[in-house]
Amino acid sequence: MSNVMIAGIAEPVHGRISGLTPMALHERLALDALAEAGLELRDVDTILTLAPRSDSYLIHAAAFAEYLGISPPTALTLEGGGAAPAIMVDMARNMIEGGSAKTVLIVSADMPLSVNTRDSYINTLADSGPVHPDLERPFGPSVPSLFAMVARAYMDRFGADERDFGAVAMHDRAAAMSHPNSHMRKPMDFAAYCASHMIADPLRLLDCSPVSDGGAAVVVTSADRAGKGKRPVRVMGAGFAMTHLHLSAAPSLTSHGAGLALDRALAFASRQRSDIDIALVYDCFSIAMLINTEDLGFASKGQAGAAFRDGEFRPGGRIPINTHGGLLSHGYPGRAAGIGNLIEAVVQLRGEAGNRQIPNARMTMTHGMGGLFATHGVLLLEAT
Amino acid sequence: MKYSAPRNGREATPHWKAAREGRLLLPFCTPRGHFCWPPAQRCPSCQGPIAWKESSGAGAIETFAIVRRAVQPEWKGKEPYVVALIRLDDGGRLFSNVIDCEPEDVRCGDRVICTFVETTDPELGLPVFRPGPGSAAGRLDSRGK
Repeated sequence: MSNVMIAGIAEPVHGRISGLTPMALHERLALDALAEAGLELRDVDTILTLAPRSDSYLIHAAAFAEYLGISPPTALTLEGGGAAPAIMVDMARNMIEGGSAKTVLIVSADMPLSVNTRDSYINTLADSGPVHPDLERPFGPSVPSLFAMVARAYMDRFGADERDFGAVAMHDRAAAMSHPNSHMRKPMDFAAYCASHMIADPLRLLDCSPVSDGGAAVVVTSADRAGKGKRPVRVMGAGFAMTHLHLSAAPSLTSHGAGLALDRALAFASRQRSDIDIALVYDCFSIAMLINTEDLGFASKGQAGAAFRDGEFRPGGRIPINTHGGLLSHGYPGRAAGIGNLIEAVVQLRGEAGNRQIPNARMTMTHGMGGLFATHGVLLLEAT
Repeated sequence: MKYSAPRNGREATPHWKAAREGRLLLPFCTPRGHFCWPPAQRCPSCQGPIAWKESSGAGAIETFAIVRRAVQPEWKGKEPYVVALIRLDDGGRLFSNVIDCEPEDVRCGDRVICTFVETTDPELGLPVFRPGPGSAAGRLDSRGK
């Protein structure tokens, strides 16, 4: 069993963050997460970051170390889309177990709302996001329209309709309403969902994540260093899968690699699906939640919408999913999207989720996805 | 509107140059006929050599979306329009537009036929698709509209 722990975390209130630069947000998160772990900046020998859309440097992690005034031997900025949180934590585990790091500081934060503005962020995403620059971009797709093409194929194949998509949006909103860090906390019923305008048929505004400022920091270290602060959470292992990057090259439109990544993670950690107490599923759009939930094995193909409607994924249901509100309502902080799933897993495993707490949560599954269902990372964490 | 040109000098340049001449040219590997898209130096499935073949341009809509909020500058104000994945009868799948139709009438499985548009690069064209026989337009006719 892994001896690597998540010893500290920090997460801001998502939405518009004013009065901070992106670097200052990174610093605040880093210091808060280290304080939780009972560690100090000088203990950090590896920094892992993602390149924020709102702040561009040759090597963001090195610029961040420079800003903090520390000289860790390793400062890396990774590219992993929404699968990055699982990649970074698993990389930290490997480095610590292999002896090349002792304490790894992971910071993934972005301010696409207040630095880039919402519209310019969405435009950037269509130019440098999961859109092929030559084979797709000339035809005018927005990122929502690419997910809408998947949604249309899913409807065509399984007879799904707006009740299924709406059930996901309402599920996440209900969860986000009880989370103090969530971006979208106003109640949403099916009428409100249906009243939201079409962005790219069949997807409405409320099928799409909001653009948020936010992110998180995570401190990963060995068990002997992790006892100084809050109750640590054990990193059990991770699994990954990729099948393509662009929609044009996807081998399937309705079934993708999330389940394969989970199988690999479970095999690595010698665990089973039935050991999972909470699932944190990457849900940048409602259709992503439906397909990923099915691919992960929590519903049969075509049945996730009905299961969301029946409350099978609510607290107290068969398997609670996205108890923090997911990307759809907790928030979508640009490049940092997905790390919120990891933070919620840690909070739940510590037993600190307050009125969201799933009783006796022992093991969580945190899923992240990059591109159009293209790359998947699944991280398994256990309570100590 | 002229379409935004793809980057010339890339693997798909023969496809775009043929489109400028009104031909749909697609890459398949010679040993086993795998459709190689995005085009590459060798077949990603079997590592075999690739040859360009002319397609009839007839196919069906595999899936589509109606864009209501365009993001690329040249597309703003053109909404609603249809982006789609097209399955070609003689092999291959292309990301493109379905034009000359009411977006609301488009359905998965509709028959389409290739036509071509110019781009901002005078050497390069792009294939787009319009309703073919048996498509939404055909259904409308049969309802007497």
